[in-house]
Amino acid sequence: MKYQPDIKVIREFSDIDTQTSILDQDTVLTLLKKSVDDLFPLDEKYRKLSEKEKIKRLNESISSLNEKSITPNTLEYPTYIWGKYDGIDIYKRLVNDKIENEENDIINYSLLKYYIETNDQQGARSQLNKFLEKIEKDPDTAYLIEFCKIYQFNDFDYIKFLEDCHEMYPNNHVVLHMLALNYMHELNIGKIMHYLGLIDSLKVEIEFTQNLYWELSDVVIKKLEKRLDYASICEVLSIIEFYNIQYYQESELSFYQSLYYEEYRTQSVENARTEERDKIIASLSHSIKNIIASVIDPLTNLQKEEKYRPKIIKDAIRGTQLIREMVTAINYSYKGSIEDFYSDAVNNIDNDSITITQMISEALKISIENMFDSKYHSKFLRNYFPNRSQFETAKSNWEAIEEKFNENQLRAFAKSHMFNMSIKLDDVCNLKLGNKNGSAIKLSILFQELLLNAVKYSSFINRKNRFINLVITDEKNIIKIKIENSYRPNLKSKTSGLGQTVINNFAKMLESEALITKKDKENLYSVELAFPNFWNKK
Amino acid sequence: MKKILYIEDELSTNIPRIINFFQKYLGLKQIKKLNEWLDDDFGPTNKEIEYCINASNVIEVSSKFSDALEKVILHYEDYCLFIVDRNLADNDYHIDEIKSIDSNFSDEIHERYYGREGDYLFLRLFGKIDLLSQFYFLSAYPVEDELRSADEVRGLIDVNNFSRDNYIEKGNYSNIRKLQSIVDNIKSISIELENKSYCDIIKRYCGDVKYNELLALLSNDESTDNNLVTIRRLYESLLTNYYLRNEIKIGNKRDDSDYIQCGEVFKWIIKWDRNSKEYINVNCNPIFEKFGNCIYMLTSMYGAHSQNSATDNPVTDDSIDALISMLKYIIIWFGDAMKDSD
Repeated sequence: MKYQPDIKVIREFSDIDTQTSILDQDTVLTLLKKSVDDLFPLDEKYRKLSEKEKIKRLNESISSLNEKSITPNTLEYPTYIWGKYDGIDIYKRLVNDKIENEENDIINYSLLKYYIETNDQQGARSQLNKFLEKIEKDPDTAYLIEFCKIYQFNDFDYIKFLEDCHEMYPNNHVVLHMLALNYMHELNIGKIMHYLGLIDSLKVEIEFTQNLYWELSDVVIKKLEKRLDYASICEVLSIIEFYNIQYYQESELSFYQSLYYEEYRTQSVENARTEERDKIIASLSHSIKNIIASVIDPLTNLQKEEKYRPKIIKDAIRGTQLIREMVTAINYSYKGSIEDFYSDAVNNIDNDSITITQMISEALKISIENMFDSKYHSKFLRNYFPNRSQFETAKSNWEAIEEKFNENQLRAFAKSHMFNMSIKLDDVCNLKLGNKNGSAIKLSILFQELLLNAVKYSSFINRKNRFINLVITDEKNIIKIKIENSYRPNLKSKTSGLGQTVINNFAKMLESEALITKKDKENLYSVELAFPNFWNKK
Repeated sequence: MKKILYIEDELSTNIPRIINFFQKYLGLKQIKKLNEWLDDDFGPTNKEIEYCINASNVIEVSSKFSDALEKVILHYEDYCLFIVDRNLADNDYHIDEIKSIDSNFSDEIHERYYGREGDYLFLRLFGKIDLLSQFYFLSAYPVEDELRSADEVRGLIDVNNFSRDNYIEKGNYSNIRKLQSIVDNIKSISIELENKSYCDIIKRYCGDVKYNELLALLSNDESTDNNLVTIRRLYESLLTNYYLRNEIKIGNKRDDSDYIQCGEVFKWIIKWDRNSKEYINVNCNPIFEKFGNCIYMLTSMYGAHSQNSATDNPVTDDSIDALISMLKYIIIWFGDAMKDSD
């Protein structure tokens, strides 16, 4: 007889995963409560208790449990183990239990989880490999796959592993269930429909199949609601209605259907407007760039001929380039999504791929270069170089380093002529980002806007107190950019707001928000932006 | 002469526009300087540009809102045309500085008009100048966008005190051409420039009142009678000043009330020496004599002393033009004579 995965166990762990990958005390307590609810389902007295009293009762129940009565194979074991979670104790307990229960999946899973929690990659990898071997031998033990899901390091592509299993065992319903469930976590509606269709065609319905629909209606729809993705919600409703009409009718979904459809309709109108706007921006951008090309080319030829006044031609070319840059920035900032960044983080071997470090250097170079532009940035030029002699010295030094551009020289130049600067970049900044979907250029524009603003507005402070600090960190899979600069409080400045719009649009695209903080007493202005580490899988 | 006031906070970015707009009124030296700045990597400051342009006596530029407000409040009569950039925020200003110039200015007004300081200048000129013909906004945005945030201006447009055509969009070639044509054809400035030599003489030796009378006469804005009176006054002013400069040489030509008798002065100037058959006064010549006589006679008959002749044989515009030409000759004669005795 083949092993049938314990539905409750799978559900328990899939719940854990959808909520958080790290079990904190609150989660443990919630799970414990849930276990007690399961243990005393009919206990009306318990249900009527207040939350505080429930917890008290719960604690009493836990302490009254006889440790010996909980064996590694009992359902309560993981809950119990993690309820006692307090660092080293749990490890001892697991190791002790493992001596007698070498092949026990729950112990092995718990150990995997422990290694991950304590960031012991080697231990985690070794535990994972044990599961993978088991699954490869017998995919019907596929509930283990769900355990493996906890393993979130870069070198394990969970979905790919499942797809490989599916290729080997196309009709294995456990793998199909797992795939459907995991694409639900990915909110990949197309794949969900595909695998539910396969499960339906196999005519094999296990208890867990029903659980998939519960997941779909309760978890997936809620997540989509948070994203205001009513188009996908309507698709999910159609899927449930098509494959499980009974569930659909019994659940509240049929009741909410009209509301979702109304939201979808409203959103469709808005989306149509947005699409129209984006289309116009794209077409306008295209036309402007063509016209600019027709201006730049003759100007460049004039410049080469050296017959006309070079500075005037240079200014004119610079003006057209600025227009082109503005149009490009606006155009890019309105189209695309975070998915493009994930995709370009993987496809990053072409020549257009660059690292964040390179983007920053380039952005800083462009920002400093702009400060020598008396035509379009004269105000900032005068702030940095109040007299001709300072200007000429700085310009001559800049021209010397500009050709053979080097990051250290750049910083030294900034320090010597313009502002104090500190840059701290996490290792993630050395990973390359591709440009197939325009991600490299988008992120470059974002850094350019952020740094140009910092360089421009620092100029209003006296040299001694002028500074720019840039810190990029990567913690818990989140890349955080923080740019601080000195600024003059209450300075009102003539601005089109275009730069800010571009920054906000990119932030929105990265599913983030630019957090601006002003500390007037310290003359400190800072912008923070946090977005997912695209180089790690979602 | 009334000037053009150009208010723009980003002067250094707009040197080519300044040259294009005001080429007609700028001197060669000024244009040369502006062109040099265009070739200069360091570029000029706003103050340097102001200093250069304001030397023209025809154009005045202000890059600071405070300076512009002061000119608009205290000296608006000195200008015949206002070209104002709507957003003057690029050049920092402090509210206290503005309050010291304009007691009506408050924090609330500051908040309301920040970024559209030009609108405030416009409102301060309401009722003082003809906004429709004398005030133009320069703006980076189309007029529809600009008016959306300017209720007050919109109100004045509704009652025909102002027009959407007075918004000149930067970069809009036809708009710019239109404004340039207006600048090039400001009557008072053109007349003064065309008659610069006469104007300079009158201003120098007869003073601002007579200078303004000459401009009014040359503008041909007055009635025929008034023109005849003005011609006579200017003519007498020339003789009076000539007399005052040469009183000792000429001798007493005043009446009992001490008024200078211009007719007697004229007679002295044109005194003829029968023996040598030439004028005694070296400055005199037959043209001066004939023109002087003609002006004196005609202005007496038709303007200054007699109203009756006007109805019998009315003076035509051509006759006035002829008299003005004679007066111009006499002004040049007067200028030379005065220079000789400087």
